[in-house]
Amino acid sequence: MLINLIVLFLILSIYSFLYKDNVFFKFTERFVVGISAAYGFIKLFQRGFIDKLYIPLSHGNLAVIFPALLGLLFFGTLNKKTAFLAKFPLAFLLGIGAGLEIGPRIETDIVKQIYTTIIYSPHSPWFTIFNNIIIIIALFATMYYFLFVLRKNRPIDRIISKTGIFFLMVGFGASFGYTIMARISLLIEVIKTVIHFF
Amino acid sequence: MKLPKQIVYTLLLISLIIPLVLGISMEIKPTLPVINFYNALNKLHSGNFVIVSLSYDPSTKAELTPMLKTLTYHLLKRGIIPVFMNLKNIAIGDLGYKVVKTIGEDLNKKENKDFYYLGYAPGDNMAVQKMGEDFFKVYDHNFHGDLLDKYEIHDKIKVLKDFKYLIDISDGNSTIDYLTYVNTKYKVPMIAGVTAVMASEYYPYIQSKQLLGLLGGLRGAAEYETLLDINGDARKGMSAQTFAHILILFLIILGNIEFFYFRKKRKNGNAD
Repeated sequence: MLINLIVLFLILSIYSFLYKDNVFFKFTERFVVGISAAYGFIKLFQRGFIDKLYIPLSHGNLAVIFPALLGLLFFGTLNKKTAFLAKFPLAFLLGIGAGLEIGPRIETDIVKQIYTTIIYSPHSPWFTIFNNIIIIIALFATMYYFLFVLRKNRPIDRIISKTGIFFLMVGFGASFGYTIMARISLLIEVIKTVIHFF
Repeated sequence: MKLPKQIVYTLLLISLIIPLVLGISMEIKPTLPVINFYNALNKLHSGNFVIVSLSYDPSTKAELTPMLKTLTYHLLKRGIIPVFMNLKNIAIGDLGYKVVKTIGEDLNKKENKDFYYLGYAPGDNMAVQKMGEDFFKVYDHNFHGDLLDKYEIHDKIKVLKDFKYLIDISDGNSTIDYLTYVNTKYKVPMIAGVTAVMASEYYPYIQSKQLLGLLGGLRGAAEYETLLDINGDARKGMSAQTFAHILILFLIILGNIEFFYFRKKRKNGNAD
């Protein structure tokens, strides 16, 4: 009951901002940020520091010392004189990240996408072929619209550019519509919580 | 003429409260990405392992928890063994466990036998890489801290490839990360449930069959519930959603009529 009351108070405090900024909104905003940070810290400490460092060390696994020391270098940023030390773990992380990601990412986002768009198969259903044609038209028209280095004075240029804008608007419209739906879904959950309380 | 924003908010609130209080429900027709999601899971057999990544936090719980509930119900009902993990977001741990445990109890399923809940592990994409080589190097114990070597999962699973599917329930960029590492690199088939904001971003991956099925937002969750004949949170929410959309459309049309009417009037006034 007490928890439900607190939840109701926090919900109403946040939504009171719709009327105007006030002390209840400010309190709740900071409260949520504080609670989230504290929760995150405790979970990371348990699952990171205890599980991945303390327990292996206590079992005699000394290999974890190297990544731990590397991680400690991040604290160098706390002092101007030692700030450069943080660059070593950062470089290590960026290097590993880039090395691991570049190959599979090109295959995922470029090769497979181009392959399934351009490849024609006589066995494909008619709507797949139709979709692919639309995608190719949309791709080239939109790219043409963004080619600002070209002079586009002819009527055909304007037609292609307008087609590009049309497809861009369809894309933005779909994203915007989905965004509205997402925000209303969140509001529905809040209203359900309030209705449930009464 | 300007409509005060307080009136717009009040109208929106009323349009949402009425269907929720009256319990109005509407027919929802499932779309192809959702049907594909459902069919992909129906192809699996009892005893197959799938890995479910919970990559969201409480801020998107309204959209993604209904998906998680229905997905858990679907998997457990068919005897498929889901392994719930979380590499991307710390906050979902306890929240997700409560949902999974409740559904498991309702269906008389046992934890660490019919389903596993592993919780959060740090490492993000590095952890995914490691799981591709040795799953238990990342997860050697479950959410409660019990070692996994005493359970069946230890005999059946060695690497990521041993899972039939990776199912990502996500509110961030985790789906693209999993597509890159798990699907492209380790060839594990994928399906996903994402927030409505992200749904349009993932449609190209359905076309290329990198994602075999997709649930987009509350609407996707409601369609999934329809396929399983469940009247859950998503279907109830979608009725309220429809009323709100009608109101928004009405306000957009009203705004446009007002704009064109006054523009014409201004033009006529200038001409005079």
